Amino acid sequence: MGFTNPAAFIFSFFIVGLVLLYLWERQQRRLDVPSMLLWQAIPEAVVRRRRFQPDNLFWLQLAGMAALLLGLANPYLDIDFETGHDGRLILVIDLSASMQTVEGGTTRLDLAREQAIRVIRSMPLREIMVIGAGREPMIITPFDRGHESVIEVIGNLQAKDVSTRLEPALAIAQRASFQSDVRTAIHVFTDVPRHSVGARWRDGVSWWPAGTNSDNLAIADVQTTQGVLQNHREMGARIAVQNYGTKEKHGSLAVRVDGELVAQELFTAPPQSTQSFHFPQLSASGLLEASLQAEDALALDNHWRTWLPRFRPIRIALVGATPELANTMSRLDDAAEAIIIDASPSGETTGGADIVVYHHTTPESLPDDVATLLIAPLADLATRKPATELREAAVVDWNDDHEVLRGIDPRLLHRFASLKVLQTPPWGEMVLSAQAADREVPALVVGKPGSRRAAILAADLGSEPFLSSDREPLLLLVLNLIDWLAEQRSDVTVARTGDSKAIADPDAPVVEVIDPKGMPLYIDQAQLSLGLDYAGTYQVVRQDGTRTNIFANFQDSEESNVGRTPAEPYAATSNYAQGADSLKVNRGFGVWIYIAAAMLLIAEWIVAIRSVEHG
Amino acid sequence: MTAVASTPERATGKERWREASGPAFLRSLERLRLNVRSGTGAHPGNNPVPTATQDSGLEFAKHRPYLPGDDLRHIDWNALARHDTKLVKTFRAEREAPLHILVDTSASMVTPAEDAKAEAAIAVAAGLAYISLRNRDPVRVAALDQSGARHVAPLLRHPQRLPLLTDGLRACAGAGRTTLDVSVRSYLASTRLPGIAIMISDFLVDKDDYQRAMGRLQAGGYAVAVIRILGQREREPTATTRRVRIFDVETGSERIVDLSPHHRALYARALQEHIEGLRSWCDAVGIPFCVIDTEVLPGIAMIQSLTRAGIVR
Repeated sequence: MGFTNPAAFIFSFFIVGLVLLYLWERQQRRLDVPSMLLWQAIPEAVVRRRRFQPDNLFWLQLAGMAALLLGLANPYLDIDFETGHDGRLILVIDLSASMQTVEGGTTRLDLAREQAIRVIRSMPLREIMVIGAGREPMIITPFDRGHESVIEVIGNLQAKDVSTRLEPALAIAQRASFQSDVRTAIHVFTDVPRHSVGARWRDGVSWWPAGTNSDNLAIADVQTTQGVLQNHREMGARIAVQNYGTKEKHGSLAVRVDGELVAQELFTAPPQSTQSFHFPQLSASGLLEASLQAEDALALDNHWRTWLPRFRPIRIALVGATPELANTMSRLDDAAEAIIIDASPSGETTGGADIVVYHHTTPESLPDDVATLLIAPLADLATRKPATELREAAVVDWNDDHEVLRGIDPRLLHRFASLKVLQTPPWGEMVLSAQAADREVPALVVGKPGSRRAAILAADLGSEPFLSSDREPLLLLVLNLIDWLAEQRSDVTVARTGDSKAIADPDAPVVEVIDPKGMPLYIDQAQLSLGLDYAGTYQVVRQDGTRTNIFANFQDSEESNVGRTPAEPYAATSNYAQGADSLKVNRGFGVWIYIAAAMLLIAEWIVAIRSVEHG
Repeated sequence: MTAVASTPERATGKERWREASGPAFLRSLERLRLNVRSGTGAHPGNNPVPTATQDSGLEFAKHRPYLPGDDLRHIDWNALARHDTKLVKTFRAEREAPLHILVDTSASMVTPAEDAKAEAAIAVAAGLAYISLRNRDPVRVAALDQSGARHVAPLLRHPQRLPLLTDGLRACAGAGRTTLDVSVRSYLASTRLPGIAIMISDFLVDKDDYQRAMGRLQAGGYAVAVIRILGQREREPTATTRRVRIFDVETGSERIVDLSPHHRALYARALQEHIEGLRSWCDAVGIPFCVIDTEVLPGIAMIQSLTRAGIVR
């Protein structure tokens, strides 16, 4: 037996008040009268020896008040298990990130665990199923009568760094309860308020809330910034820190790159506020870790990992370039962080280059191991016929969505002094077209003929002074093109917990995945994606020996906002999916006590009336 | 002969009755006269005596035969010429009617204090005294208490002396037990000036006591009137608890009772019987009787109640 609302006993002082009122009422107050003459008609009261000798009226009042208190406490029976009946119990335990919140030295998951074990021990004959509710529901144990083993499993449960989704778990629980004629009770242990799920999921479900602490500080977001015309030294980071609590918090924010402290800032965060910290010019690359040092209830959201790309200059080999173009391209070093490794007319040493630029040259075939840029080829790549030339071709059309045109208004390109008339190869996609003499021709074609990217720029950059301020849009186009062609690959991916990352690659199957806790995960070869349940670094090892990292950051404002309104446990009174007979488990009977209290008060009223009538 | 003042308007307390004994209020009583049917004294005054004549006066009464020794100036010479008989003219006698105001100043008159019974009694005494003095009748006031009757002021003959009355009564109020018979006997022994005696009290004594007292006054040739002062708390005693220890302020005796509705009804019945017993006895012996409720506005109590009772006109 227990009480749904034990706090109601706080009102027990009303009983003390009733006794005091009785004693006060029984006190003999002195009443001065002018004469005893008129009072002779009234019989003298019988004075009792004992000071406290209550009458029937008092006992009725006391019983009525006690019944009201008991009804408010709403007692329920949870052990009265009838022999011969069998029932089942489904425990849905919230394993989301907010369950890691510390409440007075223990976590909310620990509190939920204790409550669940208490419920199990009160029902020794039941089959029990345990469902974990996180990003996805998970049946932790199917129906099992071995309560000790279930308790052991519950004791080993760990919260994941993901958001709360109770409804799928409740759907499984309700489905399981419908699948049998045996009566089934569903109990939910969570820090989420009961009203947050739909009525169809919470009806007939007992709710055990855990936790009220709102004291949490979190890194809400981290953004790394680098301008188009900025080099890697000017890369910076913006970090947003949010205080979800109702108290002012103090702490420090540290930024480390590859383990080395590069910036640190002390701060004071007002309650319910967000602060942004800007760290410009980090002048570093690699693993950026932001961490908060502050005393709060949830440590999970105090860390963030992201990746600053390793700086490596784009290596460009020029083949057949005119001196004017070679001279211009060599001056792109500062802007594009590109270096010319070969400017020989024949292009003999293109090994090690990221991009091979052919000027006025049409190769026999595009190389497969390096990106290619053809600038004003003299012959068409497909037909090998000499390309005709158009003069003063104006830009007339473009593909806004392509990455090459990012940040450029193509209308400002105006016209090209010289434009080769070329056919669009099968692998190519026209990004820019120009018109001259009523003829529209492709000006820029990009695509991926093999494993590397390629582009054909029909305009002759050798005759375009694109480093002058007048031709700034053309300069941006060239820089974007170089960036796009270089296609710098990174072995690092940044993601959020709860997301799924595609890991399937037919050429390089995954052989092993190690989670942030250092434990290897079982990977099916047919598995296409990896669910990120924990914050930290996932290591993906492929058959070809390559190893990629996935940085999973916890970013969930709803989970970080751990504050909860205090709520009392809710014991369902009809938590059985099926069955006419009722098991007396968790059956509240406060209503009956209320009825008894009402009857007592009516009896007290009748006795009081009779007492008044008879003096 | 009797009347009880009843009006929806209620006095607010002791201050109102205190104001009623002041000159401003008393001037509103100028047109009232004491209803004197008997109790006139020996001294000439302004009150005509129906059954007595005198040789000179304003109102002709009758002729009577001349008797030797009569003053020849009183012979009606016109009647002598017409009837040849010596007749003497007589006139209606006019005497002063001394007013004796006997005010109960025992402890019961100041209990409960909220009722302001003593202040009401003083105001009523002052009002009656003012009416009498305006009619050029002397007033004598006595405070009745356990020790007997005390003259709180000399014989008053002018309204300007009224403060002596009110101050004297206030000085005596609230002491001792109520012993009406003993007090009246003491008073009669101290004065030989019969007139009108008006007794103001709560009469919370045995009926034998007040009957003997007023019978003694009537036997002494006084025209007696009775005014019963009644307070709201006396009518409906209140207490914060159900059980109370009744304390008699005059005798010091105690009694524990439960103030249940039933007992309250018994008390109210006892009070009603007490008042009706006093009223019926007064009616039987021809004594004007009136009850003045301290909750009633003083103006209504002094004019309406006393007029209805026939004490003033």
